[in-house]
Amino acid sequence: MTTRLRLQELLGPILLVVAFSYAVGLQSAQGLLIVQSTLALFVMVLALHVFVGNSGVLSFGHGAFAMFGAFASGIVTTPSNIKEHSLQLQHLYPFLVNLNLGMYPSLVLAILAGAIVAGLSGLLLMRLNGLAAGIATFALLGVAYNIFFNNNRIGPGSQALLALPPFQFFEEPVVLTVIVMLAVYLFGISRAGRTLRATREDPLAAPALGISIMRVRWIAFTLSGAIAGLGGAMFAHVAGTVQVQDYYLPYTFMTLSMLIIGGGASLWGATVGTLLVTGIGQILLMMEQQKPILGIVVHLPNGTRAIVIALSLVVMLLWRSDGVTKGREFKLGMPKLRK
Amino acid sequence: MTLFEVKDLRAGYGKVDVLFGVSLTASKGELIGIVGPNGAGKSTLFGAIVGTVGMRGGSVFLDGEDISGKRPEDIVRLGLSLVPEGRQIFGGLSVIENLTLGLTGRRDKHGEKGALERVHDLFPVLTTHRDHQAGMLSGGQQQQLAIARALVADPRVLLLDEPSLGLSPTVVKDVFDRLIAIAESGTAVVIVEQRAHLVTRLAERTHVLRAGKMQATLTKEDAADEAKLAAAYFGNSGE
Repeated sequence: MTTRLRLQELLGPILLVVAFSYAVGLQSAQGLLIVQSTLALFVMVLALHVFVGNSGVLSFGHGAFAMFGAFASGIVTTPSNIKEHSLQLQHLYPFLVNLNLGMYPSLVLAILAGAIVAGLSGLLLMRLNGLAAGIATFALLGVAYNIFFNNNRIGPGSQALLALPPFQFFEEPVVLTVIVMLAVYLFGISRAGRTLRATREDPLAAPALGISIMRVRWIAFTLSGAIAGLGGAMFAHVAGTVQVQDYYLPYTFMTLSMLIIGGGASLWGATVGTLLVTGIGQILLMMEQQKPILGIVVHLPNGTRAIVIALSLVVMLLWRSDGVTKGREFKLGMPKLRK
Repeated sequence: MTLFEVKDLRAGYGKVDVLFGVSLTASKGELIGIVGPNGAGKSTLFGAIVGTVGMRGGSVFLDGEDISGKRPEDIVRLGLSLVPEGRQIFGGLSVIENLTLGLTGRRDKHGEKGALERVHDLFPVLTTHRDHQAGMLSGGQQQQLAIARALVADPRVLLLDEPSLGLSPTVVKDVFDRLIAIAESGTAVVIVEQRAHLVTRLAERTHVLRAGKMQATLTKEDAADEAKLAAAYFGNSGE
């Protein structure tokens, strides 16, 4: 009844993502890799936006859902003959050795894995607020890390799962990302999404209206877990490999930075943050590698990229905690970087 | 017939007791006032009734059903809504989004459209500002929105905590006229107010809450009696 689709709020971010994908991805093999890995990270940022951005509750645990998604998709798409003969997979459960699915069924499995883990853990975690929630979700990430790192019955343990099939067509991750953007936007304007934002704005007033904070947070947490599962699987298929370390602290830090720098409360903020951090990160990486930028070579020491992103995060939290977009959705004529 | 009854309610925070056996009743269509000085326990009373402050004893009945200790969201669904002090509207959301959130507490989901139409009739200014950000409304308009948001849940009992707070006298009169209309439509309305004159003049009964206890009950006629009002409000000294 009151759900109002503001087309430009959805089309603005989608057009930016599609334009970025085609402008960079069709340039070179390196450009294609940058686009595909950025889109996989962006899906994870969207997952964080659904929960963290809308509820205001910080989560360090979404890497766990990405981990479950990546390993679920990875293990069923790795060819059986490789699973049989790979040294790091010799202890795998036999049914996993023989289980083979195509790319898309495996992505559905990743979504389900993320949703189930988030749904079950959310039954407990959604009772927490503030610092307690942050620490508890971090503990969840630690638990997931240790499950995959130490258990070689369900994966390669501390080793890498190799030979994952890549996306066949350039458009596949682009289309998947656009579908996720649409789902995330529709959730944001749904009653559940608005209710969740209301609980962020005033958690004391919400129960007085008959709103169960735990219930709306749980719905968002589960949905974001599903999206994180997909993001993790996409990341795995882009890289062609899954290793538990890939979804741990740097991954969590990077995706949270993208969300916070862009502005966690909006789809536009998640989009701008991801592309901004990717763009700056790539420029700094080229400088670290002494590659010429517009014919000029600037040498920066290794690690500069991570330091700059970390400092940007601190600066944003200090002076513009709602991100460069101020948490607003895209609107034609809006000065995006206005102070 | 009594629709709403608070019986010997005791509540507090941590080691501090605030309410010491408070009782009151309200029937369908009645407007009941509760007045008292700062720190008397007025907001604690409402908090305990709606489940946001833990009760330490006593009972709350809604239409004969004991709702003591139920969760706030369940109490709203049973038909008891609170307009909290300071209004607590969601300033970042639009007027219509605020109203939609109020629908969460409805028992009858089919009547949502009608409920929104009724509050738009009662508060036409909300129709004018339908898509405006609620935080940009004036104080009086925000108060109307807060009341409307509670009303769309179709409450049988409506509690209002300091509805006149921060409003000019003209706006206060306007708000209270609407509250009288709401009571006349059959909803039991219970108002907590510091402005004793205002509520005593309009309410069927006005209870004086002081130091966590109901100290006196005033009638409409008492509104004109300054000395009696002051004595009830401040205690026997009248200071």
